[in-house]
Amino acid sequence: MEKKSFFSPERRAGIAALVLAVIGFVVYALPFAHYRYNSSYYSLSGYDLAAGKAIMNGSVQVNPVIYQWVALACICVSVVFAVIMLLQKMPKLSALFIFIAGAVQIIMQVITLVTIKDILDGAKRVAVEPGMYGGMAVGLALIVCACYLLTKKEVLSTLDFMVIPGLTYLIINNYLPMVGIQIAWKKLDFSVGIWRSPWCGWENFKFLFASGDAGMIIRNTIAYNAFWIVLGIFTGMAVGICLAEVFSKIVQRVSQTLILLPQLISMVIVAYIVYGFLSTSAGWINKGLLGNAEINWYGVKKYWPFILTIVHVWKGLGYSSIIYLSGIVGIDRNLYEASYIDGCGKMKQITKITVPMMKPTIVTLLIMSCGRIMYSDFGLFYQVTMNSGALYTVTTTLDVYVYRALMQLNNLSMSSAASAFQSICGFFLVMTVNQITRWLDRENAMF
Amino acid sequence: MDRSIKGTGEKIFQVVICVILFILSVCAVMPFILLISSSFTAEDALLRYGYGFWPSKFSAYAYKYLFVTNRDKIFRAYAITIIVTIIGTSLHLLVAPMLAYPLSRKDYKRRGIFSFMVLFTMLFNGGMVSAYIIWTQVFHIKNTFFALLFPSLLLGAFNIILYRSSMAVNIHPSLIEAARLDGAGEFYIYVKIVLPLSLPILAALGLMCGIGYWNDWMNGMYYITDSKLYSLQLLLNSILNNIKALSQIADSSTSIDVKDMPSTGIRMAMAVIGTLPIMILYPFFQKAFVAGITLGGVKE
Repeated sequence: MEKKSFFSPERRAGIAALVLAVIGFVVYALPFAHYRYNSSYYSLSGYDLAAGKAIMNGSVQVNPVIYQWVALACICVSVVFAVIMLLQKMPKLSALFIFIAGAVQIIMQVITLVTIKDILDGAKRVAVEPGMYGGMAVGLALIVCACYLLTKKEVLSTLDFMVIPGLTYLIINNYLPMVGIQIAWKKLDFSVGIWRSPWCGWENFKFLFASGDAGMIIRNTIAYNAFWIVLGIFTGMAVGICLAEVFSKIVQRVSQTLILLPQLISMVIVAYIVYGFLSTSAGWINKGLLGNAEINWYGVKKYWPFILTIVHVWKGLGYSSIIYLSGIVGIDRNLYEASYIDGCGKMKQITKITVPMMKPTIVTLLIMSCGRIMYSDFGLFYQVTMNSGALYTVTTTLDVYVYRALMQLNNLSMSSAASAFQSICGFFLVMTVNQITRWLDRENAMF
Repeated sequence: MDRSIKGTGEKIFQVVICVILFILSVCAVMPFILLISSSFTAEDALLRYGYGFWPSKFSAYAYKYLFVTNRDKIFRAYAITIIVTIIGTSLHLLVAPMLAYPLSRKDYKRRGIFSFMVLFTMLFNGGMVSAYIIWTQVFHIKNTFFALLFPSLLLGAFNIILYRSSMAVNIHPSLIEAARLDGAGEFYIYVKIVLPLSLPILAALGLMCGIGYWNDWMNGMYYITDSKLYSLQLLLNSILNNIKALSQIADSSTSIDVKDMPSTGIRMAMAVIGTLPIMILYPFFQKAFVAGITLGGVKE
């Protein structure tokens, strides 16, 4: 057992927290903000902000700031729990409270920082001074101090600290937009910010569905996806089987490498390549293949379902065939040997062994892609078609519509409604699809 | 696997397969040849015969024009793309395995809640508009370098799950236990044991992430309007936009189209420049690339 020295982790953390609290009280006496009015300069300390202050001989009254009250209370709380720590009682609980006090302290200072203009309403030039950052630093130090004790008490482990950077990114990149999805039910006004914009119910969605475009967009998204999912299974399986069955390893390797080539390039480059084929004046199809034809490919709708399908297959074939290939390679070779001895030809082996053995993989991939049926390849529909206006009715999918409404038309209400519609539908589809997978095959379900 | 060709039926089958694979390979490669050959064709030949699979009149003028006249623009875009790719991939490799490793440990207390947090981002997302508003209104990254780096590309839940399951399979708990008995701390174990044993998957997924950064134009289209921050793909995108303008004019009368065409070859040269580094490196990273795809396709 550990020898009990006077400087046990509790005492160390307690002393540190106490010292930090004292520093915190000192920091509060430092200037937090300044206020210029009619060429006179007023400095406000943290205590001034918390208590309110009459400046300019009482002609301007700064109201007490509730955030600073809370922040000061946090420091008092940490004093209390630092003392409890020093008494070596309830170390985990007090560390937790000090942690919370530190976090709240930082949050309150950030809120004050962001809203300082509203707080000092009417001032000519408002600025924040070092005291406020000092307050944040004290909060951070309190958190560190609490984490030290929690680690010593094995409440927190190194593993907890390792997940922090990644989770922080996910919170910023994925979870904040989930909260922000509320803008679809709001009438967004940038001058008051996202959170304080007024609610408007289902109005944005009503606009979207009343515009008449919604049906066309949803039809395009689902129709292309459904057709391509089925087509992808057939082409991917066929090529996967060819790659698996080919006897020469060199042929297999070389063709696999080459078929994968289109997968490497971005949709912008694909758009250039397609332009090379389809350009009215210089494209290979007009000039080379058809000899001086003048078909305006980018202006005629009826070609595009085919063109997009060809481009999609061309780009994605390598990817899907390799996924199927990796499944086929995993099939037990003995099955083939046995069937050969029984007199099966190659075609029979494929239809009776390979395809049935691959069924679970195919079904899993099929179901998973059904979960993403509301999402489309933005690059394919936007870049490859060169955003050509004549083609809108056959090339606008949800992703394209969202981009166009947001960035080109600046129609925030319609684009946010479309985007929210997409993610909510996507959510229900994924849940449904996962439930179906669970019924079929417990192993392959996501959760 | 000891396989051999048996019988004539099999021979015919092999020939058919080889022919199919040959045709598919040619189809996959031909568009690239069109791109490269057109970029090496003289303008007047392009105007007369259009883009072709063989330069009817060889000329490297397009490249000269790009690398001499527009040197600054091109090199700037290259530099931005390379910097973004390197920083982005490094950050990914720093952060993603570090998040995945604790989740792969069966004895980690908070494994359930954090795994759920990661998984949930795959089920539901706030949508593009919400993400755009958050990134621009809360974090103010519009027209900054960070706009190319952070939104959506850095790490995805799916990658975390792949890292996690690979680590759960490849790193035996007894190994970690032994290291701990020898006095190693958790972070030391991660750096000295877990990371080296995960090198293959780090290579495969790091490569996928790098290609993602190199090929990305969507972040730029949403968050960058300042042409000083254009990466290679964004530059390509903006030149494609000019073609758009051109083809709209061409609809009313083709003569303007012809008059404006000195850029016909230059655009193709631009596209070649944008893909060339990846094409050159492709043979070297082909194996890791295939591994990355296979990992992504079948879970576990």
